[in-house]
This record gives sequence, C-alpha cells and structure tokens, in this order.
Amino acid sequence: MISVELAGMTLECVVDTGFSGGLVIPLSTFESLGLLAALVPEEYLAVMPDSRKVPLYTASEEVVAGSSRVRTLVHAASALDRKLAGRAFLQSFVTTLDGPREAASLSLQSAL
Amino acid sequence: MFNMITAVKRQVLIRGVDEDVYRRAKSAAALQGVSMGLAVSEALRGWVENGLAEDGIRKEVKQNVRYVKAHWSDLKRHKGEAVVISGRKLQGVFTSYEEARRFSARFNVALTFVVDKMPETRELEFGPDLELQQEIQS
Repeated sequence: MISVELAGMTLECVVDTGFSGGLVIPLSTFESLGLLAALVPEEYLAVMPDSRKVPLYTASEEVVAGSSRVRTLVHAASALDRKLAGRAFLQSFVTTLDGPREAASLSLQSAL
Repeated sequence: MFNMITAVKRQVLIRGVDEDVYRRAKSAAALQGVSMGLAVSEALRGWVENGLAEDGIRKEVKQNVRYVKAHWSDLKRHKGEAVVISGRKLQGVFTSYEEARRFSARFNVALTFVVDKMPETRELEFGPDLELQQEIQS
C-alpha cells in the first residue's frame, strides 16, 4: 500500500504492477473530487484478465506522494471499486517493496 | 421515498452476498430500527438510481468526445492551448491547463485538455487479481 494525496484527499492505494495505467479510484471519489470536469479526450478501456473491456472515466491530475508531486492519469469505473497505483504512476518513482511489512515505499528517480 | 403501504413486497433469495457487508448492514439496520427488507430495498433503489445517473454522465462524455473528433480540424488551431469542451460545445480556450481547469469546475462533466494529437482509444491491462464489482455482488 502507498499513501497519495489527490486534490487534497489522502488515499491508500494498493501497488498493482499488473495494471498498466496511473491510479484507479472509486467512481464516487472521482466524482466528489470534481474529476468529471477534468476528463481527457482519449477513451480508455480497461482490459480485464478474461479479455472483457470496461470503459473508464479518465482525468489528468496532480498527485502528491510524500514530498513529490507528479501529474498522472486517474481512472474510475462503477465496476471497479478499488484504489490501485499502476505502472504509469509508478514509473516516476523507484518503488521498493518490503515483503515482511507488506509495505511499499516510493522515491523519485531523479533523487537517486 | 419508500412507500410501505402500496409497495408490493416479495421474498427473494440472493446468493453470494458478502458476509462482512451483510453483518454490518444488519447491525446498522437494527440500530436504526428498520427491517433488513427495507434496508435492502433502499440500497437497491439507490443502486438503480445511481446507474441511471451514470448512464446520463456516460452519454454526455461520449457526446463530448464525438464533438472533439468531429471538430478536430478546428480544435487543432489551438495546439498548445488548453480547451474546455462541455455540452457538445467548445466552452473556452486558455493559455494554461490550470486556468482551463479552474474554468471547467463550473461544469458537472467536461473534457479539459491541452490540444496536441487527435485523441485515440487506448487500452489498459489489469492484473489477474482484479475482480469486477458486478462479480462480487452476483
């Protein structure tokens, strides 16, 4: 799990390296943060492991992780009631997984 | 409001209800002094109404995306500028994304972006652990 701040709201997201997008948040949160008014014009489809395709609402938003601020795509769909951090978000950072503690930590690549 | 006098009540068996959610709902219903039948009916009504509201949002998003594609030759004249599309109209052109974002906050649904390349449909892979909400509820 990692903690990120999106539009002033702190969210605990599961690090999911199997997900190629930015962040996934529940649609109710997406709506309450006003992100339906900040949608990108590209249509994003979530391809599920069984090949089904689910249309996503997608906005471009600045996300704060620790002392770093990055712009990333934030996705939501009513069928996905999860909070995930995917590869497009994680690529801005070096992610260290701590198995015994079931924790992940992020550091900016440029800081190395 | 739920009409307890005229509504036809029916007994149903629902399989696959999440045990933890059910236990919490039962406890909340008891605390509020309402039956589980009433609590479930209200939850189902909210779910249906939210679905209808979402259909409206999805329709508006699609119409706005269609507008962008149909008017791309006009929009690309604003390359590098930020635009706000809502209600199938170009609502504004701004020199910065932040300015466009502040303006778009007045709309419930809007596309807000810096004009660059013709928008495309993109696919994102999801990992094998992800379950769709409908599957959890079924």
